[in-house]
Amino acid sequence: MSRTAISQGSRADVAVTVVLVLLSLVALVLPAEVREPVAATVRRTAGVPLIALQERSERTRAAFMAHDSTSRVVDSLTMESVDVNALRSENTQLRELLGLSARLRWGFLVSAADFLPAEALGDRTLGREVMLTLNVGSRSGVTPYAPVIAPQGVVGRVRTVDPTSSLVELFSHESFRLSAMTADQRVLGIVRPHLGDSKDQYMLEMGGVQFRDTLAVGTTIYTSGLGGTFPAYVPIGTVVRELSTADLWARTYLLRPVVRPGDIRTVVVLRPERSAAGMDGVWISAPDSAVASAVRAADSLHADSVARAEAARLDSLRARLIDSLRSAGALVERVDTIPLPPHPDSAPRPVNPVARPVSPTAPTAQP
Amino acid sequence: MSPARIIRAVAMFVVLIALHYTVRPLFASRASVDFLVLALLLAAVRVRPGGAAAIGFALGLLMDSLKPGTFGAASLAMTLIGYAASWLKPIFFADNLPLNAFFFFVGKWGFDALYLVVGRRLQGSELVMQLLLWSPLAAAMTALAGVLLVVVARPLTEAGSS
Repeated sequence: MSRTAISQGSRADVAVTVVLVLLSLVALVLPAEVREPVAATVRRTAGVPLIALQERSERTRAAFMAHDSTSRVVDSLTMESVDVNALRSENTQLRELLGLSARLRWGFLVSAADFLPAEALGDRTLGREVMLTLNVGSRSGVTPYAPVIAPQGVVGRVRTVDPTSSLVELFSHESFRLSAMTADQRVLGIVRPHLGDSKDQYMLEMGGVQFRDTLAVGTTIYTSGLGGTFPAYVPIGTVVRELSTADLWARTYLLRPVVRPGDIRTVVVLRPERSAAGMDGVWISAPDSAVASAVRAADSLHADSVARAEAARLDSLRARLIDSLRSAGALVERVDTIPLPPHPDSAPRPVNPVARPVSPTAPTAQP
Repeated sequence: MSPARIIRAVAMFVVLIALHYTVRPLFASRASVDFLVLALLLAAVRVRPGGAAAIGFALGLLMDSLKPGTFGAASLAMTLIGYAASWLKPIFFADNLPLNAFFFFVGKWGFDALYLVVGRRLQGSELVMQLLLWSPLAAAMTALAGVLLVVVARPLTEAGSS
C-alpha cells in the first residue's frame, strides 16, 4: 500500500523532475567555458574518491594486462641475452682463430666441428666427448692422423677421412697418446687422457717423467714433435699436481688441457707439409724464440771454428806430405787429390729434433 | 521505512557506486555491468518519483563530470530513468525475478538509448550497432547482476523488515 502511494507521484514530483530535466538540457547547451568549471567542481568534490577508485582499478587492470606482455618481453630479453653470450663467445673464438691463422700463415684447413654423441660410439661414459666430426675431408686435403688444433692448442688427431667429412679423435679419447715436453725441453713425457672420476673429466696426465725431474704447478706442457703426428711446441695443457702412481722410477703429473671440449666450435687441421715445417713461433713466446736463436747462433759459431781447425790441420798435413814426397824425389803436381783421414771432431753432429725444431720454410700452399 | 532499512539501502547504494568505479574499469568491456543504473533503479523503488529523479540527476551529474564532452546527457537520461522507474515500480518490481530482470534490462537499455541519442557521441551505423548489440548485451549483464543482487540482498531486507 505504501509503495502504491509513493509511486503515484504528485505534482511536486513532476515539477521537480521537469526542473531537473530542464537543468540537464541547459547543461547540454552550455558553452564549453561554462561547462568545464561546473564539471571540475563536481570532480573536485564528490568525484574525488570515485576518481581515485577508478584510477586504482585502471592501474590494476593495466598491470594485469601488461603482465603477459612483460613476461614475453622478459623472456625475449633472456633469450637475446643467451644469444648475445653465445655470439660473444663465438666472436672471441673466431678472433682467436684468426690470430692462429695469421701465425700459421699456410698449410692448414679451417673446419667447423661438431661432437659425435658418445651414445653413437657406444661409449660407456655418457657425456664424455671423445670424437668430433669435421666438415672437411679428403677432397680438401685432410689426411689420416693429421693434427687438429685450436687457438689454444691440441684438440686431437684425424682418425677417419671421408671425401667431405672427417672423424677426429679428441685428446680425451682413451687411446690418445702424445709425446710432450716443457718449453725448455728439460722434461719429457707421454701425455694420455686421465680416466679418473667425473670431476677430473677431460683432464690429462703426463707420465714417464724421469724421477729426477719435477714440474711446478702451472707449467705449460707442449708437444715434443716426437712420434711424427704433431709438430713440436703445440700447447697441450698446464700442470695441476703430481699424481701418486705405482711407478717407482717415473713421475706422473695431472694436466688441465688448454682446450676445453665444450668450447670447441671451429678447429684447424694441419696439412702434412705444415706439420713438417714445425710450430716454432706460433705459440712459444718471444723470449723462448730468442733463446733458440742464440743457441742456433752458438751452434753455428762452433761449427765454423771446427771447420777452420780442420782446414788448418789438413793444410799442415798436406805441407808435411809434400815435403816428404819432395825429399823422396817425387814429382808433385796436384796435392789436393791426396785423400786425408777425417778428424773425429769434424764428423756431422746428430740432429736433435727436440732441441732444434724445424724452422718454417717458404710458403708452399696458401690456405 | 525503518532507519535500519534506510541505512542498509544507503549502504547498498554507496557500495554500488563504488563498484561502478572499481569493477567496471577492471573489465573495460563494451558490455559490462552498469552499477550506477542498478543503484538508481534499486533506489527508485524505495523513494517517490521526484526523489528518484533527483537521485538520477545527481548520479548523472557525477557521470557527466568525468565526461565533459557530453555534459548534461547522463543527467537528463538518469533523471528520466529514475522518474520512470519509480513511477513504474508497482508493475515491474514485484516478487518475480524474471520481471525484476526485465526491469533492470529495460532501465539500462533505456538509459543507454537516451544517453547516446542526447549525447550524440555516436552516429550512423555505430549508433545502431551500439543500440542494437552492445547496449542490449550490457543491459543483459546489468539485469543478471541486478537479479543476483536482489537474491543476495533479500535476506537482509527481510531481516530488516521483520
